[in-house]
Amino acid sequence: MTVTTTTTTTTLAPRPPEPARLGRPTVLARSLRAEWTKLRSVRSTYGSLLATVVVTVGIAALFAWAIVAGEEPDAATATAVDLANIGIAFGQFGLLALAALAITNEFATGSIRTTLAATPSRSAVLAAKAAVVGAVSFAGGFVATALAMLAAAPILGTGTGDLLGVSARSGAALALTSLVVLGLGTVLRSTAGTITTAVAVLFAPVIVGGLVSNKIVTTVLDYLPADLAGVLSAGSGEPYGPGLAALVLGAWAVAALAAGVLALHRRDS
Amino acid sequence: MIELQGLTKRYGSTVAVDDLSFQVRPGKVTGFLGPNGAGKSTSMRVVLGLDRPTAGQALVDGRPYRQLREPLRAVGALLEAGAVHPRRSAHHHLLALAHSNGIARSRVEEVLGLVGLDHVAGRRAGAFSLGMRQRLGIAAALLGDPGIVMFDEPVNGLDPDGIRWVRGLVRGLAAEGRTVFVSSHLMSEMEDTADHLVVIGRGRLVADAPIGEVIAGSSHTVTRVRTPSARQLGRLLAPGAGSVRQESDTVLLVSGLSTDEIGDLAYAGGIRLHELTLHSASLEEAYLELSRHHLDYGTSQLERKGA
Repeated sequence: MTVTTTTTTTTLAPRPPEPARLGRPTVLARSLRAEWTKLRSVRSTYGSLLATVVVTVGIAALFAWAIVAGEEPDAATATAVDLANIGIAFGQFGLLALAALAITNEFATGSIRTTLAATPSRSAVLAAKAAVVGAVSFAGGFVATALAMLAAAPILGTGTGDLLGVSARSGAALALTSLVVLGLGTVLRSTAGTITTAVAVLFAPVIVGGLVSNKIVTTVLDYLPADLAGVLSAGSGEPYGPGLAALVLGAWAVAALAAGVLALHRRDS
Repeated sequence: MIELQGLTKRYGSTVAVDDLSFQVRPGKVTGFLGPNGAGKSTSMRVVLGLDRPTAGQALVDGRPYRQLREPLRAVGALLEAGAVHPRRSAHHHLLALAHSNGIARSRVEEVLGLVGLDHVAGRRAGAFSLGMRQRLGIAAALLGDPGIVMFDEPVNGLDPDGIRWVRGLVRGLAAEGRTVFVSSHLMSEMEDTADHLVVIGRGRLVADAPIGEVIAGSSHTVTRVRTPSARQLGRLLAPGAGSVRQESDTVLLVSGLSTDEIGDLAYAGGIRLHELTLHSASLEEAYLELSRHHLDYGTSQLERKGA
């Protein structure tokens, strides 16, 4: 026989709110736990990760086969690193969608009000979202790139090269780009608008750059997130190296997130 | 305690809340009444620091909401049902909220049991009915065991059982000494639940009084007086009364005076009374009358409906 006990639950006397003032680090740490719980408890997170890995590895492997079959004479000297970078250029959109949805979904469902009522510090909420989205994007970019290199190298019949270094740079580039998208989504609020803008900003330079040779235009394009991420992933480039690329891309991320915090502060929710 | 001080909120040229001041005190249920669009939800959003006031301020326990570091322990709010990621489970929704305010994980199970959702804790919120989502919203509001609860239209979408449950819950929370602030556009709901009423219309304060006073103050609250000297008594009561109507040779209908006052005046004038009966207005009647006096908007709407 089992004995069930029932207990009254709300009838705890209301306690005085906040005996001691909490410091900012505590608020941020709690926000981090909350945002991590949110991110890991929706299936779309795993779908986005899977999409990035499958697309990145798939494209790298397909290219490798095409090269081995002699169908890509222009790319005959491509290495596993090059193919992984081509793969992640397409595969990144899975995780960029995740970054957008992390905030735009809250606006779409109205749960942003629940979030901000629980954590009135707008900067803590967005910093926590940035940390978890950035971490997941880094991990996803790292794994996708590493698997793409491991898949392409044996097909090409070459070594992988600097597997960890390339994967880490690629993960970092994707993480920083995700933060740009997260900030953008906070300002724009709509999922469709954010993803459209993100695709435009990331793909337009590739398209426009091929059509326009104006010096000013190409210089501007060089410093947009897409080219910066490209140089950072590749580990070398023109007219700046990966170190400067990381710095400028980081500045983009900070600027986008700052705009997001400002929007959360100014706007009615 | 919730306190609004000269709160004004404008959206472009629309004034949603207009110089609103009142206090919501602990230990009783304060009903927040007004037609749809009167500014109830806007006021509540300002209290939660979600909307910025154009002028004035809202304070909870003497402080602006945005200064609270563990707000869920101070104020539990139900603003709208369904403000949940549809693919997240009820359990994880509450767990994330608990983490954000340093509330123990065990409290999540506790409030789920309290609102009767423990058996569907693992199901995604998108599959919930409107009533279940209301219960989830109430669970979130109770998570931090707050001293203040604020429910915006809590019975929307609930079945009669659920309505009775919310009524009991709200009364129980007030009995525990909490500040309970509940909005509704349904007067009948408040009649059984609220101790005190704050009535607004077009963003302005219409009434802020104990529910008994609101009802007693209505011209629909009348005392029927039967006396052989009706005409004489009528003249005696007229100066102090809201209105005196002579229904027949022996019957007066008096508003604005209590039965005690009528009896005393009759006694002083040497007039015999054969009957003295109080007919209280319903809250609905009292409310409609208040609205009619204060709001052209409310009146015209109601009349159009009636026509």
